[in-house]
Amino acid sequence: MNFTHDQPIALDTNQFIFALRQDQTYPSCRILLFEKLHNINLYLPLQVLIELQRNLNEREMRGVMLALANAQNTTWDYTLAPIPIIKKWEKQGAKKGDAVIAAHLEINNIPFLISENRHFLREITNLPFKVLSSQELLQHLD
Amino acid sequence: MTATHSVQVVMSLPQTTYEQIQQIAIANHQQPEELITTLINDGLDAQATTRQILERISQEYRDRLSQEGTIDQSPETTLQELNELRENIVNELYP
Repeated sequence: MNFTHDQPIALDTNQFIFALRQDQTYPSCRILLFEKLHNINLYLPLQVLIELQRNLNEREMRGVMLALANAQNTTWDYTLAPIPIIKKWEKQGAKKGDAVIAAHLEINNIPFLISENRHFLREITNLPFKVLSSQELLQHLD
Repeated sequence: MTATHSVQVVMSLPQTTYEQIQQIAIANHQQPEELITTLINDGLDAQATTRQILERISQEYRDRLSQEGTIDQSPETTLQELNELRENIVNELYP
């Protein structure tokens, strides 16, 4: 993997949820969010923001937004993903939800998605970004 | 901080400050006490590091999940719920 620290990285919703739950199966999520936010150039698509809003209450969401704002290197993308690109990934076999994430990343030239969903678009071979686990990313950050 | 960990505090505020709080609370459909708690927490967060904020939010989130009985759910269940939520949201946003 050709990774440099200035490359933008998208975090999937599961990174936030496992980190905040302090899930023992995925301790790397917590390390990444709590300790390494300042070391990454974070990109957050609208889809992830909405999913976080649906999982967190208003106060929890405000805290997460403030923490990300403090990290000072977060790009918030409040735009909808382009429908033609969503349809392109759906035609290639992606579920609609995954196709939306893929469209967000493709249109914004985001080279990495960090997710614990090992099945995320695994069946698609020509993705314009790589899917890594938080543990794999941490190995490159250290 | 959850309700079970709350303490009572008696404080004095300038009349104009309290009136301002009352006005905002009414607009937000909140009790003034709730708004004051929010304002204090926001002030504390402004002084806190990213990690301190996330530690606090995580504790509150875990407390809430404990009350809801889902704190011990498997990561597979969490991932499944997130996948279902994603599909529901995209069907709302991109019908």
